[in-house]
Amino acid sequence: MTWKRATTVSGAASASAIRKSRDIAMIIPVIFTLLIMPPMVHLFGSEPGLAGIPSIVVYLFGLWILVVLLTAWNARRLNTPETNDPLVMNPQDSPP
Amino acid sequence: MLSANLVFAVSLGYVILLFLVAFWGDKKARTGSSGLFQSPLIYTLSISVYCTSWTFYGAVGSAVRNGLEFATIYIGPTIVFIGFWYLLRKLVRIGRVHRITSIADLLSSRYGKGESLAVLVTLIAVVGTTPYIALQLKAVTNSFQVISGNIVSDLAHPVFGDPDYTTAFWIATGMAIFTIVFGTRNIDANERHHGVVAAIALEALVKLFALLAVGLFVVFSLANGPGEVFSWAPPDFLKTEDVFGPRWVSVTFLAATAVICLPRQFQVTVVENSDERHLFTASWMFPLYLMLISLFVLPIAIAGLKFLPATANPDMFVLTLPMAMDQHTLALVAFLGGFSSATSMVIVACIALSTMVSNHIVMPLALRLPWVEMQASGDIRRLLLFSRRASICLVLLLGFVYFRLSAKSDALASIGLIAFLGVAQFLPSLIGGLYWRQASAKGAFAGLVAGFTLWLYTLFFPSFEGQFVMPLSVIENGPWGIAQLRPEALFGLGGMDPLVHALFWSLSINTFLFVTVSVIFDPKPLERLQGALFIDVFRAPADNESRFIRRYAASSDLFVLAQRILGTNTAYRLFSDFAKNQGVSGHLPRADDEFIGHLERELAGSVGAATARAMISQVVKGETISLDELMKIVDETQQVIDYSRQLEVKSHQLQQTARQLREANERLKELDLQKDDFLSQVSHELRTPMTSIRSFAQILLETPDMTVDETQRFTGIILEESMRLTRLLDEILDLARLEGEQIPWTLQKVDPEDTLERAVATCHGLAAQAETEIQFGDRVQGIEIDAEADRLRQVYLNLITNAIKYNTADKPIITVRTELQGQRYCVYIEDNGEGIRAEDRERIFKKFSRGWRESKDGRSGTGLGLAISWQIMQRLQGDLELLPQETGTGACFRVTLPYRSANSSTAAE
Repeated sequence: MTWKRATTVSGAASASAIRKSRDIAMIIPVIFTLLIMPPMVHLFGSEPGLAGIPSIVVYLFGLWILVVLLTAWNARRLNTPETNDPLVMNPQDSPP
Repeated sequence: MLSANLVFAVSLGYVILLFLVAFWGDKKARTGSSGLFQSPLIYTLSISVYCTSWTFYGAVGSAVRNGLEFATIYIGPTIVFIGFWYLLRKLVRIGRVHRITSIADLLSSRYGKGESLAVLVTLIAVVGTTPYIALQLKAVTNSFQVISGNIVSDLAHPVFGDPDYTTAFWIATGMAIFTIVFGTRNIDANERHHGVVAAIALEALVKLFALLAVGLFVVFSLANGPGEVFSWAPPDFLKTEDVFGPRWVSVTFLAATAVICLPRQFQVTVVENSDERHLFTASWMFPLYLMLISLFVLPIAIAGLKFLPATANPDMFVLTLPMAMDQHTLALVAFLGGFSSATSMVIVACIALSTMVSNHIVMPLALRLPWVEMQASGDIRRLLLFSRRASICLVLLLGFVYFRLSAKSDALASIGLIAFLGVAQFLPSLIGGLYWRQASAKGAFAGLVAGFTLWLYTLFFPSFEGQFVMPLSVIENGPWGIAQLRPEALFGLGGMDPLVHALFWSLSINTFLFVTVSVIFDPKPLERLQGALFIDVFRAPADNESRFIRRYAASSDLFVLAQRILGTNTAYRLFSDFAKNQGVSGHLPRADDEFIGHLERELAGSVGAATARAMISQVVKGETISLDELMKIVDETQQVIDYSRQLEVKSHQLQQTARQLREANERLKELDLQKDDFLSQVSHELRTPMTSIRSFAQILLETPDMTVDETQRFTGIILEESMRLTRLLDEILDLARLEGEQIPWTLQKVDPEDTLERAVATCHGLAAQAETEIQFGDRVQGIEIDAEADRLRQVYLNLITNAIKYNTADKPIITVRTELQGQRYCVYIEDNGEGIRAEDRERIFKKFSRGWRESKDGRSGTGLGLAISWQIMQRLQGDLELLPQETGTGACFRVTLPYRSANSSTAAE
């Protein structure tokens, strides 16, 4: 059994950062889905929100832009050599 | 209005541009400088083939009719892409590792590489996509007719009269040519269609630019910013009260499903993916694209309602609004945007469908026909290319016929969501296949058949409103008047939106059957294996497959097969590369399990997993799947236990190593201390004789008038001290040799009593000088030990001379006796001197530690004798001890040695 890619001290720190980013990658779609589904969307209506635009439209597109920015930020953190070639335990090396 | 000729010329110019871009992309890719075409930007833009003309034109229409609902079509894919880490990444990895060619190939490969499942998925995909292609043809034809103004001039009529079938036909033909030229250059679906991707990326930019241009025109030219546009909106235009109901949830879900399951989306996202990392960029860039596409939908819809006659078709607002405002260039741009969204969808859908049809329907049939028994190189490749091209023409022809038959009805308008639900039937089997080990082919088959049938019955046929297959009476009253079976209120579940109704029944029954049947019927070994390889794709490399399947084949047979499919050159390269890897000379590698597995995957990249397996099976013999091996990786708990046990062993070993290291470190420190000690002691010991030699030599030198007697005496002292120095150095060397020697001594059979007697005899002279008596006590007779006689004698001598030299008794007596204790032979050498003081007993065997205060003649020894003797005894696997001393008795040393056997002949004496 071999663990590819030896974990160094800095590797351990980045591993925890990657774990955090993975959790964020899970949370973003879940929270986004909850926010654009009833009953949350019922909080906004046709009344003017920002600059005469209905508040529901402002809410929807604002949320959309926010989620794009968040994902872009998180994807940058996730896109490391470790995540593209994740810790692979090679079963061929394992003792019988 | 623009003249038809101008519109035609612009369209033709645009198409020529697309051809050039595709040609350029292909050429760049072939010369290897395809940097731009393999960038994440191009990848993201190619995914936007999701936005078809149905969304380009139809989103505004949907906004007019249903307010905010249009946004769901874009929100669904947004959710999937921002959550890419959990599903899309796995799909892309599996697609690359297993050389997946289509979604049908993925499902069939996951569920044991069966052909029937692939055929079923292909059929569903064709049935769901053909109307969609017809919709694109209709949109392009309509927009062409609207912009060239040869139907209506006042934009007032919502219906355009007879569509221009000739235009539609030539558009379809053009698309077929483009797809055939750039989509079937090679048969390996995993070799990306760079030309096509380049062209659809350009089209993605054009449609985004067109919508943004029209939107900006509305917001900042027609109105003074977004506030004014929304002030024009009719009351309750957004329908915020009703829109967030079941339909909102359902359509979002459907759109999310579609961006995974639609064959064309699978094609661009998974099959055409050239680098997994591109997904990281697409995860936010594609949602951004969708957001921008939908940004101006509401303003355009509101402006259309305000400026266009009430009878105008909202589905054409994007085009008719600029026309009504006399913005001809803008109208032309909008037309090109719609044209782009339609053509890109049709091209990619045709590539995806033709791959599926030729791999999963044409090839399996052709291989079964007796007259397709060609043995020439590349024959299957030619057949495959031909069937791809024929399939493209067939799919487009089907789309055209469908358009011709249904153009006048409104059935086409709603086909977008209907198609989404059709392909959504893949979802349970797909998700189950990626995450659930028990999922089986039977379950997938049952779920798909039931879901597909229910979709046809509750949504697809009723959407024709009685004009196709299902008469109106059945839709309204149920078959044979059975109200419980009414398609849009199945089992009495009425009062629902037809889409939500169909979604509920088809997907819930599909999922239920998939799960239940999978639980009841266990998956077959190959399904289990494929399941494990898919589910653990990030852990287990695909090469592992060869560990579980044992097959035998002749390399030459495999080569014949490979060159039939891949062509001679590619096959030759593949085989000789592998032979080189194996270290085999020549171009034919050993046909071991690993190579057969590798070859099967390579072929699967061209003909799909099911066909590749069927073909390999014709050549190989004795296929067995090693169940034991398989169970090891299939059983999840077992796997976890295995891993943790291995970890445990590892950590245990680590602990042991750490302890050993710690011990070694301690030992090293101790040795280092001893070495320092030794060095300081040695220098001290050397100093004393050196000092006396030097001082006496100095006296001799500085006192010329010295008497002969004195000179004699001083020279004698110098000689004696030099001898002591020599002795000291000899003993240090001896000790160093003893301690440093690694090679074990060669031991011989020795009679220890004989050695002892000789040692005592040697000491007689010294004893007589010191007036010491040496007595023998009880003696053991006739035994043999393994030892080195000279070394053993050295130990005896040392002990006896010590006893003589340091015995201060009035009448010195030394007693030597021997005895056997268990398996050990013991020699006791005892004197009647004053013994060794208690505080010295501990360190008596250490270097330079003299146990006795002084010898009889007032001279001290080197202090190394006992240390040397102790070392010797250790080397002889024996021991040397100082026995506990009673007051008033002298010192008693015991030498112990293991002995082998009693020598019977001498014992008898």
